[in-house]
Amino acid sequence: MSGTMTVGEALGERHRAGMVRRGREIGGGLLRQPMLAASAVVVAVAVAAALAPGAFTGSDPLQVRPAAKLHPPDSAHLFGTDQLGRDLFARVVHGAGLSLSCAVIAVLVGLVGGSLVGLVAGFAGGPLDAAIMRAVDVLLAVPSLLLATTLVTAFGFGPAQTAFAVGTSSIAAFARLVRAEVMRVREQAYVEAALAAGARHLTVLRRHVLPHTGGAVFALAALEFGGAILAVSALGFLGFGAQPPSPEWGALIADGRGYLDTAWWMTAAPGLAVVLTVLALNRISQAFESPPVPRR
Amino acid sequence: MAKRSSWSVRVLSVGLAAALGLGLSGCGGSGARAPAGGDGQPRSGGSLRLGLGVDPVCLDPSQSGIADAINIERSIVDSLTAQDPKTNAMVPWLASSWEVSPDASAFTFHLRPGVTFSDGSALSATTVRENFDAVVKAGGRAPLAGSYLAGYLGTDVVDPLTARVRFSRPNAQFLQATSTVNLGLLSSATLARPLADRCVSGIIGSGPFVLDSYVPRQSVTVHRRDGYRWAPAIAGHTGDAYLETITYSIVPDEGVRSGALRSGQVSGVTALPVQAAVQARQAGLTVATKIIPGVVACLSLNPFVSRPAIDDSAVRQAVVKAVNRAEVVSTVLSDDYKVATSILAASTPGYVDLGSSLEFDPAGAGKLLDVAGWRAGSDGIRQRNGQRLTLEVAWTTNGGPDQEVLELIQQQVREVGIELKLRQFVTGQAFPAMQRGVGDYAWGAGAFRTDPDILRAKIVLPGPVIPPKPGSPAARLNADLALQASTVDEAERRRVVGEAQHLAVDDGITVPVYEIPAVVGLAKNVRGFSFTASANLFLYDTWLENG
Amino acid sequence: MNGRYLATRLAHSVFVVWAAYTFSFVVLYLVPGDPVEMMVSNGGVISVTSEQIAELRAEFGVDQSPPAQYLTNLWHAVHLDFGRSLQRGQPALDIIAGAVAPTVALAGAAIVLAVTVGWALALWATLTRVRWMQRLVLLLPALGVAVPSFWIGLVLLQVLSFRWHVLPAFGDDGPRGLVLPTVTLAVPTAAFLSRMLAQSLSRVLADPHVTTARAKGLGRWRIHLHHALRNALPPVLAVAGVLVGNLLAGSVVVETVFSRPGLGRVVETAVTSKDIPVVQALVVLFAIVFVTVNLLADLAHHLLDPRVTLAGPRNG
Repeated sequence: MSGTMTVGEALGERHRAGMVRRGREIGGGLLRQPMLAASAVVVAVAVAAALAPGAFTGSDPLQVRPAAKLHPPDSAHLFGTDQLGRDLFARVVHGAGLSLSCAVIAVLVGLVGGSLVGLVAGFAGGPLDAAIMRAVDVLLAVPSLLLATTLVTAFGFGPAQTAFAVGTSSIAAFARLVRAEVMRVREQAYVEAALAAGARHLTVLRRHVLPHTGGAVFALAALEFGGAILAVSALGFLGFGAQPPSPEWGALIADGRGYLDTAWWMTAAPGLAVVLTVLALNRISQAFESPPVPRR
Repeated sequence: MAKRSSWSVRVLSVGLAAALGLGLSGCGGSGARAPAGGDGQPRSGGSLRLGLGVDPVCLDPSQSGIADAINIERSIVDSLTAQDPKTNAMVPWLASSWEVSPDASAFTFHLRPGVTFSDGSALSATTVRENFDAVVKAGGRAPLAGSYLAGYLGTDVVDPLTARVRFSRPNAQFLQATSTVNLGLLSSATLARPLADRCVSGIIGSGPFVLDSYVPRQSVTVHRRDGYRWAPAIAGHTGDAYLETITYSIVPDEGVRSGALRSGQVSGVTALPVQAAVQARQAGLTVATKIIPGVVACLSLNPFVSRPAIDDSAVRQAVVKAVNRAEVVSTVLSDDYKVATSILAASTPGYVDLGSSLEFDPAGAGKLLDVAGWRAGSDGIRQRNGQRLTLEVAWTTNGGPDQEVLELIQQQVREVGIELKLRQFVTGQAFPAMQRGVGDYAWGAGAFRTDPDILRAKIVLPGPVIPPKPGSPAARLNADLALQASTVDEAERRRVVGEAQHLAVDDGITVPVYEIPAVVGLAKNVRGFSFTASANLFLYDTWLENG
Repeated sequence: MNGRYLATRLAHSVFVVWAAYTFSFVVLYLVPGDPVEMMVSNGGVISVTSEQIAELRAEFGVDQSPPAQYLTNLWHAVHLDFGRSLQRGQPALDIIAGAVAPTVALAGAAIVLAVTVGWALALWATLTRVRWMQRLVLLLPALGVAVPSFWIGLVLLQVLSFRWHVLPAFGDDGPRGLVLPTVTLAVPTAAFLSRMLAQSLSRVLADPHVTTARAKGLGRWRIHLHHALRNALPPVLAVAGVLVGNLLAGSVVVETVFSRPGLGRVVETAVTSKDIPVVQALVVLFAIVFVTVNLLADLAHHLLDPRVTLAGPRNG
């Protein structure tokens, strides 16, 4: 709503000064901040598992071994086996690909869609801006899960559909952020000067706006990335998940919930993967977003 | 007479009923003693709290199809007849006797005198007429009950306690249908209310319990009716029920449901999952099971598609041979389940044992595919003329072990070079999707007993879009289904239905996998529990040992 | 704050509600399958004649063209008549009215808990002088945001209800049944709030004002309460609408896990059974809640910090 925007901007003024500087600091800060370093490692491992699962495990995640069902974790099966005797470690590792790519698609949908909307609104201003932002309000007014559920029901079950649905519901957040950033940068004296001097909008966008909004957008993207993993898993829990037998972290947790007290590893292993990844992503996002807690 | 038509009712209901995206349901009946009883004398009093897996949605029997709705309604509503769970014989209930015309198109019921509904009104032939008229009038809102009354002409009130139901054509299945909850009798006051309003309140029957309240998605409570004197002949006692009240709590999550049973927060649950049943037994709780008569869990052809792979009977037969049913039951399921030996469960009237056709035979499957020209490709999936041997299954679940079973079958058929793709749908959307050509097979577990006419009209294979070739197994199956519907002679009908099962299985039109049980977990102090003939809860004889 | 501002805001609110209604109509039309066909096949068997289906379609008005349906529905909706549920036959509003109370109780309790815990953690983290303690406390919200809420719910159930028998696992019987669902629903919100508050508190504490105040010898607690809290509230108000939306969305999962009746369960079943009247009534309800919460939050924000203009964005 318009008033909320005012508040958001008022905050933005205070928050985002120094964003770029922080981006540069983060590289050096990694060494001094063990949590941040650990987060980077976790994300790197997750991405590596997604790209090359074969490097982590030689087991086939789909191979059914009825004789070895519901084995607790041991040296042969690091995370134990599921009710069909499939190696859970292999399933979690191979699940990274689907989970992360779902989340990437979701974030891309939100990022690209939201950024375009936000850029147009921020640059155009006037009635077009007002109209666009009202439309964004509508997206916000429909709770994300209701929106996602409806979209998944409309377009069918499947990882791509789930990702698209989750992404759609994050368009609003990106749009508002980008618009606020664009408007903030626009009002800087040098940008106004460039525009007044007849510089083309696209040039101004490329030279001045994008470099200065990138940090905040990246922080939100990292945050949304974690959120997307959670949202995809929530949809999986409600029964809209990836199509079996494809392993996906949320679907794996949902599979294991019938075995909570007989085979705790079935929920714990994929749950741990989700928690660690989201935790790491949030930590990285935070590093971009806020100054550290002051020392006393 | 009664016996004569008692078997034919369970007419072959090919698994497509399941393909329509449904879970288990049944058709009511009556009870028998279950093994759960103790040695003590039944004791009156106490409250039973049960956890049901599915919200009943609508408590009007004629509008119900969900198994858990029928589980509840059975304690509120009585039927004209009851069915013996052991012998499937029809026995008296609200009707003390009946006659069936030789062509099975007229049924005369002699009502038991002195029966009243819980609002005080008396049961009469007029009530019977009002009930059946109302079902027919409800049309599309009462699909299941309406199908039992196919060809209904009307009910004559011969005298206050004699009603004659007439049909325009033979309707031999109708007598058994009168034992179902769906054709259970309601008071005139209930029937006078609009259909939609009947779903949540005001269901007045003559049953041993009276409906107190239904809070959608939360619970249903009923209390004992005093002065109940018309229990069915197969019940364990007469007079009032033992339990004072029953609370049916709706607990959709199966993990929560079984946890609630183990921790004593409920005294019983329906649809106990496989793993939880094992645990419950270890914990000394009672697990009562009964295989649901009707169609087994199976893959069945989508009648609306025609694609080279699924149209090849060698492929269909190969799938039947490639499925290792014993492994499915031992890995994903338990001893409560049974390996399917026909498209019908063994407890269904008219069942024929096709176990030899359903044996696991991967070599045979491979040979069939080789002969048909499907050759192994580089990734193990066979190909013919550059086309991969990929089949798609449209599936839905109501919270059973469907996903695990399908994942296992997927791996099993992969061993012979067939790729099975799974596409899940929300209940109710599978059928519209299939009509649009999605899915070569539908997966579903259907225990529905269906009218033969519906089989002809809707479950004709391979379907209304692409009519079967004359002389093909599908065409012969259709012919058989039509024939058995109009056949009055019992032996002849058995033969025709047996042939239909052969055709359905041998040509791979259906791929039977396992027989589905109703699995009910009960606390140690719950005694005298039993199932109806169609594996629904029968709580009239149930009592609590010390609580 | 003036009349013109309020009128504009109100007009915007009405627009948002209308647009949400329209948007949901369009999306639901994309859901494949005729609702009546689904309703009939839900019942058990497709044994219904085409005439009976036609009758039902006429009864529910789905035989008209989509634009005609839209206009008819909208006209009725303006008069607070969303039609009858396709699934249950009752008026959609009755169904929702019956489900509002449990969800409001749940969400209300969760908000109270989340705000309390969120504040407590944030204050603790900023007040403590022990560095490792501060880090530890700040780790909690990070964890809370990262854990799927249904997983929390399942673990709580397993331990507190099934193993220790402390609390009931399901149902809506009084406050005891509310504890576990409330905790489950509150965790993500509390985590989110405390992170936000800790950030803005630490910023405020680094502010020259506060340094001056401290130099004047004011106690740490007084500084917190006077300066910090007032400045830390706006960020919470700014996201109030979204937070309420998230709580409602979270209730879908929580109500499923804990078998509670409520709006979340209504949402799930209505969407999957293409129960258009119920979904539309829900969307309108949520949109109204969203715009109202935002309006109230802006007004409250204005009262707290009159420097913030209520005129809306410069060009919005």
